[in-house]
Parts: sequence; C-alpha cells; structure tokens
Amino acid sequence: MIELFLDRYVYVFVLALLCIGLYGMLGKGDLVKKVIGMVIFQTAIYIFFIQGSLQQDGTAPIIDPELGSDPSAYVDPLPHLLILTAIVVGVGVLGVALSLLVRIYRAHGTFDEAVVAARLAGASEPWRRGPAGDAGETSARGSADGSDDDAPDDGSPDDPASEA
Amino acid sequence: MTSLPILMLLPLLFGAVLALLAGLWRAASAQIIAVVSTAIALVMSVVGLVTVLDTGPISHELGGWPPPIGIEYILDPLSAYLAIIIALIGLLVTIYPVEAAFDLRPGRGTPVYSLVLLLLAGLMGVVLSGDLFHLFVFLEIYAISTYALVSLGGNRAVFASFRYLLLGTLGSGLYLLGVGFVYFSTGTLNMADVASQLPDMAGSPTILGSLALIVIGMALKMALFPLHIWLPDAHSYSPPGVAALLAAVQVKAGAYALVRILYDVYGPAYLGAEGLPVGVALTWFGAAGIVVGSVLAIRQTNIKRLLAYSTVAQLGYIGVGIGLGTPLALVGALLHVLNHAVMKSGLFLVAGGIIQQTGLKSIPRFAGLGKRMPWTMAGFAFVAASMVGIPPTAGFFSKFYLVWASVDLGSWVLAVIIVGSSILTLTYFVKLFEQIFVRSPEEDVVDRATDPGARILGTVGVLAALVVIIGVGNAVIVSRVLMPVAERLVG
Repeated sequence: MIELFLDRYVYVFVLALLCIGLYGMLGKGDLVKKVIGMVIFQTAIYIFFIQGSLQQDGTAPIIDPELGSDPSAYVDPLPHLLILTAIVVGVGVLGVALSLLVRIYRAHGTFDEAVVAARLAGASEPWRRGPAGDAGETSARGSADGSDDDAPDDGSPDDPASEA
Repeated sequence: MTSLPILMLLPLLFGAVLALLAGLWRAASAQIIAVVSTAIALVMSVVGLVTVLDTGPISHELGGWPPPIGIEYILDPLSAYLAIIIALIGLLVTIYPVEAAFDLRPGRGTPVYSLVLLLLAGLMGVVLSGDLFHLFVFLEIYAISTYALVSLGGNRAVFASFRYLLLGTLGSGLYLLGVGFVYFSTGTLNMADVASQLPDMAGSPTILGSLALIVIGMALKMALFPLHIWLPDAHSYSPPGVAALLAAVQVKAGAYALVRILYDVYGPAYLGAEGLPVGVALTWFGAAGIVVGSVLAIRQTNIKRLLAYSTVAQLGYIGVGIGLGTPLALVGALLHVLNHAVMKSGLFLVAGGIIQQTGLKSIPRFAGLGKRMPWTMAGFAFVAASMVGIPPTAGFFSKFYLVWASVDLGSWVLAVIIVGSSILTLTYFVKLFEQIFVRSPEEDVVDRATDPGARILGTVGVLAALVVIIGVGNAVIVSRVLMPVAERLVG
C-alpha cells in the first residue's frame, strides 16, 4: 500500500491540485481567485504530463553513443514539447482573463462576483423583474457609470441607434 | 493536391495578420481583407469537398514529417462539409456592415476583423486537424479570439466573457487531460494511429477515463445541456455579428470534435462501453437540453436572449443525434449542424438589422415592425419557419431524420420530445410574429424605421434563400455527402 503510494504520489498530488483548482474556479466568489484557481488547474495538467514522460534512470533525450537508441534510456521528449505549447496557450488565456478583469474592475470597482452580478442583473433575467424588463436595463446601465467604456450595455432601447 | 487542407487554413491565418496591419493603416481596409480571405477559404473548401468526394480523403503532412511522428491534416468529406459551413458563415458575417455586426463606433480602432479571422482559422484548424494535441491548440486559438470578441458588447458582455473564459478553459483543460491519458496508454497522438490501437485496449480504465474527460470537455465547448450555462450570457450580450458566428459555427466545432473523436478515434463500440454509457448520456442530456432550452426561450423578452436559449435547444438535437449513434441519427445531427448554422446566423443578423434601425431589443416593443421593415421581416419569416420545422424548409428535414432514427430504435419518448419541441419553438416564434406582423406600429422608433441597407438585406436574403435551397436540396446533401460519412463513422 505504502509502496503503491510512493510510486504514484505525484499523481495524488496532481489530483489534489486539480481539485483545488476546480474549487477555486467554481467555488470562490472573488474573480481574481477564480483566475488563480484556473492557473492551478492548468498547472496540475502540466505536471501530469511531465510526470508521465519520466523514465526511471532515463537521461535527457539526446542520443548518447554509449546508450544507443534504446528508448527506455531516455526521458520521453514529446510531453515536454506539448506542455511548452500548452504553457504558451495558457499564458495567452491568462492575459485575456486579466485584461477582462481590468475592465470589470474599472466598471464596477470590485472583484466580488456577487456584487458585479447584482449590478449587472435586471434585464439579464427579465422574469425576475416582471414585464418591465427594459426599466431594469436602464438602471443597470446607470449604475455602471464611472466606466471608460462608452459602449452601451445590452438593452438600451430608448435611444435609437446612431445611424450616422 | 495534398496541400489542399493547408490552403483552406492559410488564407484565414494570413488574413488575420494582414487585417491587423492594414487596419492600422486604414480602418476600412481590414474588412475588405477579411471578405477576400474568407471568400478564398470558401472557394478552397468547396474545391476540397468536390475533390475528396472524387478521390477520397487527402492527408497533408505538416512540414514534410510523415505521420504518426509529424502532424497530419486530414481533409475528408466530413471535415470539408464543416469547413464549407465555417467559411460560408464567416464570409456573410464579414460582409455584414461593421457597425451593425460589432457595435463599433467609428474611430474605435479595435482589430475586430483580425479577431474574426483568427476565430475562423481556429475553427478551420479544428475540423482539419488529424492530431489530438494539434486540435487542442486550435481549440484554444478560437476560444481566445472568442473571449475578446464577446467582450466587445459592453460591460455585461465583459463579465459574460470572463465567465465563459473560465468554463472554456476548464473544458479544454479536461480535453487536454484526456489526451494525456490517451498518449500515455498508446504512445501516439495521431488520430488514425490512436484509432488503430484502441480496439485492443477495450475495457482499460485509463482509456475509459480519457473518453469521459474528452466527452465532458467537448460537451462544455459545444454547450450541451447542462454544461450550457455560459452560453446564454455570452451569446446575448455579444454584438449581433459575434453572436451569429458563435451560434452558427463556434459551438459546432465542439460538436464536430465530439463526432470525430467519439466515432473516428474511439469507434462506435465505445459509445456503449461498459461502465461508461456515453451514447445514452449524450442522448438524454441532449433531449433534456431541447426541452429546457425551448421552455426558457419562451420566457425571454429580449430577442438576442431568446435566440441564445433557442441555440441551447438546437444543440440538444445535435447531442441526441450524436448519442443515438445510428447512421440516420448522425445524418440528422450533421444536417442540423448546417441547418442551425444557416438559421441562427440569419436570425442574429436580422436582430442586428432591427437593432441598427430602431435600437430595440425588447420583443414587446417590436409591434408593427413588419409593416415598416417588410423585406427584413420577410427574410426573418423564412428563417423562423425553418426553425419551427415547416416543410420544405431546411429545419424540417434534420428533425425528420432524428425522429426517424429514434422511431427506428423504438425510442418513442425521444420522438415525442423532438416533435413536441417544434411546438415549443412555434410558441416563441408566434409570439414574435404576432408583434411584428399583426400589431400596428405603436412606438415612434418603429414608425420611423425602414429596411436597413443592401448589405444587411443581402446577407439575410442569402441565408433565407439558403434555408429553402438546403431544404429542397437536402436529398442531394444527404445522399452524396452525409450518408456515406455517417455509414463510414458508424460502420
């Protein structure tokens, strides 16, 4: 039992990280913590791939004349390559996530998901406001002032679109 | 001709860079470049479909490294079919006027066409890739451009985009994890190579785990109920052109990847694998999505939100077709991919026209629009009829194949759900029709409204015509393209 654990402890670690990341993404109410959870989740996947590529007593994947072309003597290079790509992709996603966070913070002054959602609510779920869904839309728009974003929120039906 | 697959992808990728640079020089030139590059991609895709129907699948070795070592692009009838849909909808959305499509004010230098082309390139890459990891990269390419495009729609859209980013990343993360399982069991990432090894590993828990992870990841990407929660916000708050692209082609990439991986890589035997009833789960979650999406759509008063919930329902049909796993059901699902792409982009583009001309999004205020914008609304009527499934429009036939398939399997409950949801669809469109065509104009903005310009009318007209053409010509599409594809996938 203990040997099994010692053999596989990295995977237990990966699983724990996946769970922590998932909890952070879905369970936390703070938008920044959600992003942190997302990064933890992705990192767990990276570690999973790197661990999988390991070869007991394997060396760097550069053909060594002494070892010959025996694949078990070398670490599998492909997962490293994949994860390098995945890290780059992950950085891209992280960049977009942070820039969205900047815009959310500028518009609402908070990272609290519940507060942001409440301020944007209204017309997003019209049945909660009864038939006068449009009235809610304008108030939500008014509350979003202080933003440098001059594009109207969804549903600002009172002014005809600028047809210029 | 082995470079054909890459020729479908490159115009979009190069176009994305060119549109960015040209947009810096003169804003209007970006749109021209976008139109030209999607047009080239469309022509290449049509050539591709004709060629593969003639000669069989084309494989392109990227960089001259033969598979399974190198990355392979595969063009077969299924991917060519999807590629045509992507390029066609992309072309129509890029022709659509930029202000109406993307809510952009003049003078705001957002490189929107660069993003659109990147989105289309990502989708094109997903349908052409023959390598599991390469597919992941394209998934992320289109996802990242989607997050940026969704956030164009104002403060609500930014928040919706952020939520979508979290769930989208979760989806592709699960997919990547599943691919890792596959790689460590088979030692390869090439789809054909993996497919040749998997039958020997039936029952292996690792493989079943990978299948579960990949299916859940892709279901998140294609917004299959109950993983659709990101979709209504992202689709209703994003600008009309973006919503049209997302609903018409972006979610379909997830559906395509699901079909490709489930049937081509794992094989239909895994659909009912012991301990992991993928097929049953997809079917019944799809059926639940049809009902829930339609019911929620009826309750909406915002036109774009109504269309977004309707997308959830329509994706349910595709899920049902994939889950049932008979050739007929797959034909229904794949035909619905095309039909829904044409219909939903048409509806979102009509909504864009209404919003541009009147600024209205709330359906109760649409009263009398039919008298003021007759041509737009005529196009809308055609497309909506197809959504309901009135023959001989396109929407009837995909539902017909799905009903046929479920009756064939003796699943009367499914048949009732599919037919019954047409009635639900009818309910929400009748509500719209009553406002638009029966009532007389009440509001000033409606009274002053006129049909939008030729580019909006033209794109909507093309889509309305396509609805009828696909409906009448569906026998050709099914017998020439889809039936052979479905039989090969299942057989």
